Amino acid sequence: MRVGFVTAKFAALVDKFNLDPTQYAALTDRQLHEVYFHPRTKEGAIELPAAIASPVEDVPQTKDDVLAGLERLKLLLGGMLTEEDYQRAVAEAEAKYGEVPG
Amino acid sequence: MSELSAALGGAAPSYTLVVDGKTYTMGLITQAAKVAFEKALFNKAREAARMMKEDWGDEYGAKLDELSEKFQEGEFSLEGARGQKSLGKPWGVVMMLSILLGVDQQETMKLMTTHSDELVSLFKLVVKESFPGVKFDEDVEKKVTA
Repeated sequence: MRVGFVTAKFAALVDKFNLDPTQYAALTDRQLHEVYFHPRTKEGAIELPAAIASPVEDVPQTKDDVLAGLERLKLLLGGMLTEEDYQRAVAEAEAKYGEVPG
Repeated sequence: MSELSAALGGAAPSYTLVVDGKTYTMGLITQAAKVAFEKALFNKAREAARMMKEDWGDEYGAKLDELSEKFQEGEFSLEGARGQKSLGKPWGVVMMLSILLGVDQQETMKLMTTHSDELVSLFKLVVKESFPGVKFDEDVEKKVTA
């Protein structure tokens, strides 16, 4: 019996995720390929689809969208976002989208 | 099949088929299912060899050892030569379906005669959900439904 790629894959999962044989037996090839061996960056982080990595890039925005987003961010972050930083972001949005009908 | 369904794999609820009030569940082709198929194929080959026992005489033991060697070399695995060939034959598909449904081959064959469309359709889905980038071999479908 050859010890090759399949064993190496299993060994990698045992090493990285402490997977036991029963857990490995319950996985499909697709899960192994797409989940456990999901593409990673050079730094080892999971690579995200472009749409998730930069969700706003392809979406046309208006001044109102940006201001509403900032408002939500302010509520979400609470004290972590100072009033000064918030006002500066609002001013930048006003400047950037000022000419665009909101 | 959603992206989430494929990502969860066998941990998600199975596909079901209701026949005459009985609910059959069809699991995905996990690593365990692959090995179950490999061993079922090996057992079938050993049973076929037993039929030749009288003809082979003293060579029978050596023939069984040959099969064991081929098994250890991976020939009976799903990716191996015999595994691939068997999935192109109706009995091979029945063997795999029987493992995925968790019922014996006789019951699987009975289901195939009465509900082949539903079974083949589910099987195609299961194959796609179990392997990355699979394009289902239409030849298998033709042979199964022949």
